[in-house]
Amino acid sequence: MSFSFPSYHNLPPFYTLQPNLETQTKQLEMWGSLVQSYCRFNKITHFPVGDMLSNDLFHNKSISRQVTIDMARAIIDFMVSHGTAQWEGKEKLRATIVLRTLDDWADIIYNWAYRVGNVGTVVTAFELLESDESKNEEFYKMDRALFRRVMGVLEKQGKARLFNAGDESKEGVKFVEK
Amino acid sequence: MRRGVGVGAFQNQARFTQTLAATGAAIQKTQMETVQRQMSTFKDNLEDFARKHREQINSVPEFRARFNQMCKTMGADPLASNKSFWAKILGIGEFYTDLGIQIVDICYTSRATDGGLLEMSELLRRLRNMRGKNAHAVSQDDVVRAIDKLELLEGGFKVVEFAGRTLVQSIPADLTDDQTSVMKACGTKAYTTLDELAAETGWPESRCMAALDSLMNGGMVWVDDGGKQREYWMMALTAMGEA
Repeated sequence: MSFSFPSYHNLPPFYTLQPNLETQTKQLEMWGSLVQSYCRFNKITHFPVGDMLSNDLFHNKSISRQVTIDMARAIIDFMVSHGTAQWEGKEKLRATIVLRTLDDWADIIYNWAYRVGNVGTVVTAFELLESDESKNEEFYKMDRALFRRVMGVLEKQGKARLFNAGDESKEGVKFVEK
Repeated sequence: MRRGVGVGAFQNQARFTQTLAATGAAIQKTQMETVQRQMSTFKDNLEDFARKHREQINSVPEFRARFNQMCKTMGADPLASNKSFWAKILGIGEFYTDLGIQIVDICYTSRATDGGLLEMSELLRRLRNMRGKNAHAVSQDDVVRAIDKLELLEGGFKVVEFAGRTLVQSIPADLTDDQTSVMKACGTKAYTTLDELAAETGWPESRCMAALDSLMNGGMVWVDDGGKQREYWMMALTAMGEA
């Protein structure tokens, strides 16, 4: 299944940064949320801006329109100012996209544990993130560093305890009924 | 022997006139009563009809449109008040109030992308999305009625026609004649260029630019610099606002 673009993705002026500032803000907002849902769908956390220019997200061959590097940077800048992305370095070559907030992830993972009956038991990080059991879940193959931060949120909420944090092979979590 | 016209004849004449007036009044009274009776019968029938077909009136847009027409013909307005008989029977006032709120919601949300002009077909599509499958179907006629009610609030809501297209306007200011000409020049393809607009209108370039700039400032026109010449897109005609 491929990502289905919204109808405005086929609109030529969407690819020109609008001179009217009010319109431009709206446009960047639309692009920002499109980049975020595209990355969420394709599990892209590290977003190489230059390489993405030839991707179907920024390059719409059917209408021969393409986002320029400057405009792509403006989109990411807008996302950074709204907390949905961070630049990885001053050169602005690559950005980390926030697919979900930590709170979102915490809810998603805890709800999953509750649904499959993992509350009250210990689950290894491998089982949780890389086994068949979670193959169809959004957090499947989640970045471990991000995983630890999400677990931090659940620990604070009293919903989970993390074991052997930092040791990739032994890392585990116990979900607590709350 | 011929008798002249006497006093009696005058008296007869006066009596006759009096009788005539009295009879006339009586006839008029009877006629009035008949009409009133007919009207009241008609109203009763209409109410019976409304009760009997309540479900269809609420769920079938064509049926509702006809019913509204019928009510209008006899001076009954089912939308006039929420407390009216009609509102009680049909919940019809509420139907249009809800619809009105949904229209305001959609138009305001898309204002940032279309500057406050939305094509009717697009509005209907979004209304259907918003209301879900289980809600009663909504027709263009319903939207027009709901907007008529909104117009009383002076929020600038109205239905306008441009070059064969029906649009819903949610801004208080009307388009100027020049802006309307730009809209016409955009035609079915939804955009125009400076040259094209100048050729179509016969205006000097400065006047074309002024009209385009004003539409850009209002957020109704977006530009596309990806082609040979800058294209000015009338967003209301693209039906491609937020999905």
